[in-house]
Amino acid sequence: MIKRFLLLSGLLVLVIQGNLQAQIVSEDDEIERQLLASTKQLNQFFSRFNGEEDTKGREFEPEDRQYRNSRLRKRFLSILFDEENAGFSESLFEEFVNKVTSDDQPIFLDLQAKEWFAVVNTTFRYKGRSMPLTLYMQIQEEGLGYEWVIADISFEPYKTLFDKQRGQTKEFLHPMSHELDFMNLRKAMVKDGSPESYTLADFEPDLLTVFLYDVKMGNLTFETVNRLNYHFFSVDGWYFSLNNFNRPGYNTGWLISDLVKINAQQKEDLLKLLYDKK
Amino acid sequence: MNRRYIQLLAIAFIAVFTSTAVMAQNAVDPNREKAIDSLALEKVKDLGKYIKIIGNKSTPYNEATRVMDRAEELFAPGSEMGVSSLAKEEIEYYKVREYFRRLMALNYDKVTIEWYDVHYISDLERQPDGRYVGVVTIYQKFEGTNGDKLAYKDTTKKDITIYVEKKETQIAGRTIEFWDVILGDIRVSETSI
Amino acid sequence: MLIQMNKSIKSLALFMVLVLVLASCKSKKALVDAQPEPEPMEEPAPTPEPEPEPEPEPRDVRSAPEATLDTRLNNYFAAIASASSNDVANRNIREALGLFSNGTAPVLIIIYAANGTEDYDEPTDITKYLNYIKDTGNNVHRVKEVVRDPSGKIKELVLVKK
Repeated sequence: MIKRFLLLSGLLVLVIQGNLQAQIVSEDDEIERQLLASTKQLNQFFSRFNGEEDTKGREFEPEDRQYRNSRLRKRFLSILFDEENAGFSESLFEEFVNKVTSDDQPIFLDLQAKEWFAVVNTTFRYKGRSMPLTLYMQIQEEGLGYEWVIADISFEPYKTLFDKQRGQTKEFLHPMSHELDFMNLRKAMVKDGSPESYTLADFEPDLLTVFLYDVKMGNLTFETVNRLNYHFFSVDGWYFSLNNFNRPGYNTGWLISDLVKINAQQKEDLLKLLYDKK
Repeated sequence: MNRRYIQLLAIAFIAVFTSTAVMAQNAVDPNREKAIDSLALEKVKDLGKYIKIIGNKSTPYNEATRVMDRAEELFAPGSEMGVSSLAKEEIEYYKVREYFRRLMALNYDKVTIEWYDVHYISDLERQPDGRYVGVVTIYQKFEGTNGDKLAYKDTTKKDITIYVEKKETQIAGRTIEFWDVILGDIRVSETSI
Repeated sequence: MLIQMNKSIKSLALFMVLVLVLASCKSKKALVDAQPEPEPMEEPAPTPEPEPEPEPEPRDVRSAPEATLDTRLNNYFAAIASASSNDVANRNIREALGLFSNGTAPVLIIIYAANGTEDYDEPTDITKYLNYIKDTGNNVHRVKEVVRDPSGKIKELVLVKK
């Protein structure tokens, strides 16, 4: 199918080249064609993925013959992948396209799709220095509509902040402290000390709470957003990520840059990796 | 505007009192959605025209100030422009008024601002407070010349937030229901085109 | 390099295929075009509708505008939109304002009407509206209805998208 399509495209290139020679195309026309081709918003990625709009970004009515038409979707999908650095094979691509456009169980995506999230790389000022901080964001239903929320964070200084020693070398409150009315707490609870040493064996810090606390206290101040991308586990057995490609040409905007077929274990591992967890 | 919008409205229709149900029902009309879409696009285009006047070196100061006021009226209070360039990917933030002032003060003899004939209007999504929010994307070409020499040129993508809300007001004793379409934050990113 | 070129040709081709495939699809989303349209002078004046509601102020006259007033206002809109200079536009604004009770007379703009209900843009006033035409060059509305005070001046204006 794809190959046939490429063959057809090849024929068209000849036609187009002929046309280009016949008429002088102004620079602006060329730029506008590129802008039209660009997947300008995530919204447009969804609409193209689902086959809900035409090439000019105009929505089809649901009763339109073209609406969610699987042939149309296949064509759109072929331009929704980053072609310059695609690290996946054509057969993998075909398998994915066939799955999401299948007649019996087609898959459509939108803001409310399951299991996708944004990774937003930001800069915060912390202890006098600008530092990178990653926010993991998700959409949730709330009130009369929807909202983006922070599901988790990753921040280098937090990673070792609560690293707890175990065994013989760790600090501790000796087992007879109770007889002294725990007067030794005075030596344990000190600034720059390791108060986490005095917690239960299975203590796990909640770094999101620490982050919120630091923001509230003014210890962390937001500076800017740097880059972001989106990760989708919405298609069962598959993972893909979306990145914004700001470059000249016809294959630009929000495009799929990674496509991997995954099993349950791989999914878990990948999520850990993406969320920067040990 | 999209089918989800219709679905949401349909849900609202079921959930909300009969008095507002008529409103929700009316909004299902796809032609009404298109009318609201084009109203939103019109506001965005108005902004483009105001920006041209503000940036135009031959606009007298008092005219530019008046137009800045009008342009500012298109926005929700506190709206910001978040600007990034190819050289500097992190976003710098300006209040809308500050952005206009900087535009007016640019140090070129002549400034040309044009919009490409390409835009994209997102669906409208409902937010927790019940208002609808969408994004209109446009592309702007900017050229600053000194004498006959092109001093600076760029093309920026502008992703413009629009809020849509049905409101009521009294005009000469009559109740008028209107669509309040206001602009919000704008993300300005330089393109490599 | 060659591979990259091939790729971009491929992308262009893919895109062009889509354009061609869909070229026949009629536009579903009529977008507003800010291009000035020809003067609506030839348009028949809106037929006066019977007024079912009792007037709150009986001496006011709510009606479809007389052809002359309609034309005069529409002409002012056109003149302001296409004024060759700021001064010309401002002069036309001043003159047009003379037709109104005062500069804050409300202006309602119908953006959509169906099944007996009308959807409006945010209400504005005549001074702001005339300046809006001047600043944007948008002459996209025509007069639908005027409410006049006893002295015959317009105290409320209802416009509709052309």
